[in-house]
Amino acid sequence: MLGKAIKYDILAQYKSFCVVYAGIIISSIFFRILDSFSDNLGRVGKVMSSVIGSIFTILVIASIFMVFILAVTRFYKNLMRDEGYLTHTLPMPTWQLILSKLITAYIFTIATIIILGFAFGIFSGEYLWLFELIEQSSYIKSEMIAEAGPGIIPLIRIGLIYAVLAPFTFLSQVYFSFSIGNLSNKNKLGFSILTYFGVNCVNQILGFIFISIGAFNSNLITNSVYTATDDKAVLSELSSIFNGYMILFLLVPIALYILANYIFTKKLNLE
Amino acid sequence: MSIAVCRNLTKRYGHITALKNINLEIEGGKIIGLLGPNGSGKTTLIKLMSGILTPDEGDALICDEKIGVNTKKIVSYLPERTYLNDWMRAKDIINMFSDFYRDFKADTAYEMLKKLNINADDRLKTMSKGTREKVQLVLVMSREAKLYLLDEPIGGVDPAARDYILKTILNNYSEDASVIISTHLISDIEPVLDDVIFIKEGNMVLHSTVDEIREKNNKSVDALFREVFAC
Repeated sequence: MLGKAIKYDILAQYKSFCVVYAGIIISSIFFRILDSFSDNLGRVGKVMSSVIGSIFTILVIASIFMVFILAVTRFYKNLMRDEGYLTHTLPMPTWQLILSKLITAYIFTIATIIILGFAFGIFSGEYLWLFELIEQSSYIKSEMIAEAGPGIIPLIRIGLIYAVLAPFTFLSQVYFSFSIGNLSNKNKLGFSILTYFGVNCVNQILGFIFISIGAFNSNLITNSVYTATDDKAVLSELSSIFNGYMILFLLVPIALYILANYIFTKKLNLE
Repeated sequence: MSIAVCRNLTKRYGHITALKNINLEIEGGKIIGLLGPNGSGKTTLIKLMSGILTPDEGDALICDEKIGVNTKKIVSYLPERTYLNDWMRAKDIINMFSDFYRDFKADTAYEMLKKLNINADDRLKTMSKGTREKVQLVLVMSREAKLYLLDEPIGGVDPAARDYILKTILNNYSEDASVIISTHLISDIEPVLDDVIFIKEGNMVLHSTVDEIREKNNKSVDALFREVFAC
C-alpha cells in the first residue's frame, strides 16, 4: 500500500516538476549556445545571454522552493482538505500515508539535485564537472586534510548528514503542525501555521541549548577559543559538538512524526 | 452478525454536541434511510462510521471491528462533497480504486459510466459538479463492500439521474451488505428503504422499519418526517 500511495503522490506532482525541469534544461542549453557565439552576436547577443542566464537562475531557485512548497501543499490538500475524504478512507494505516508524502518529497529532492547538476554542467560548459569531482575526490580530500587537519573530514561528513536530514526535519515539523491544526474546528490552516512557528521556535531554542552545553563541556570554552592556536583541534572539538547535536536533530523529527501519526489516527477531525 | 454497531457514540465540536449517546445496530441486507433536518448530526454519524472523524465518547464497530484499516476495506463511503483529484481522468481514478480496494470491480465501474454517458477519458476538472458526483457514486457502488455509507447521494443530481442512481444502489449491493443513505429527499428514496433512522439535534429519535411506520402510523415516511420535524 505504501508503494501505491507513493505512486499516486508522484503522479499528482510530476507534471509540475517536469515543466520546471524542462525550463531549466532548455534555458541552460540556450545560455550555452548564446554564450558560445556571444563574440559574433555583439551587444544583442550579450543582452539575450544575460536574460537567459537570469531565467535559468530564477528557475533553479524556483525548483528548490517548489520541492518544499509542493510537499507541503500536497500534504495539506491530500490529508486535510476535500481529497482527505478519500485519502483517509483508503485501507492503509496513517503512518504509511504520512510516510508516502515524506518519501515522495525525498524522491523529488533527489531528482531536482540530479537535474540541477546536469543543468549546471551545460550552463557552465563543464559537462563532466561532477565526474571530475568524484574522480578527484581523494586528491581534494588529502588537500583539505593538509590545509585544515583531519578534523575537517568528520565535520564535512556531519554536514552531509545534516543536509540529508534537513528535509525530514522541516517536513516533520510541517506534518506535526498540520496534525495540531486538524484539531481546530474553526481555522485549521491558521492554527497549523501558528503551531509551525511555535514548534520551530522551540526547536531552535533546544538546538541552542544543546550546542551550548556541548560547547561548555568541550575544550573550546574551557581553554577559550581565542587562545586556541591549533585550528585542527578546534575543528575536532566542533565535530564532537555537532555529533552530539545530531541526536537532537534526529530525535525531534522522529518524535514529531510519531506525534503527527498519533493525532491523525486518534483525533482525526476532517470537516 | 450485525454489520454495524454504535455504542454511546458521542461527538462534540467545541461546545456543540453534534451527536449524543447514539446506540444503534444495523443488520445485513438492508437499506436504511438516515433522515433528519440540516445540522441534526446525520453527516457526523456517517463520518464517524467511515473513520473521517473520531468520537469523543463511545465507539462504532463494523463487522465487530473497531474503525481502522480493516473496516476501511469493507466500508464504501460516499461523502457529501467531491474528493476527486482534479488532475485525474475518470479512468485514472478507476485504476486508483483498483489498486487500493480488493473488492473494487473496474468492469462494473466502466459499465456504469457508459450508462450514465460519462466518458472515462474525460478529465475530472472538465466535468460538472453533478457529473463528478455521479463518478463518485459509480466508484463507491462498484465495490463489493459490506457497508455502504452514502451521504446525500442524490442531492446534487437531476431528477432523471436520481432514478438511475437509486436503481444502481439497489442493483449493486450484495444481499448480505447494508446501505445507509442520508438525504433530505425522502419521497425519492422511500420506495427503496427497509428501515429509517430519524435524527434530531444529535439524538436518535426513531429507528424503525418502513413497514412498521406505515402500519402503526398509517403514514408514509415522508409524512411522518414532516410531522416529527415540523418547525
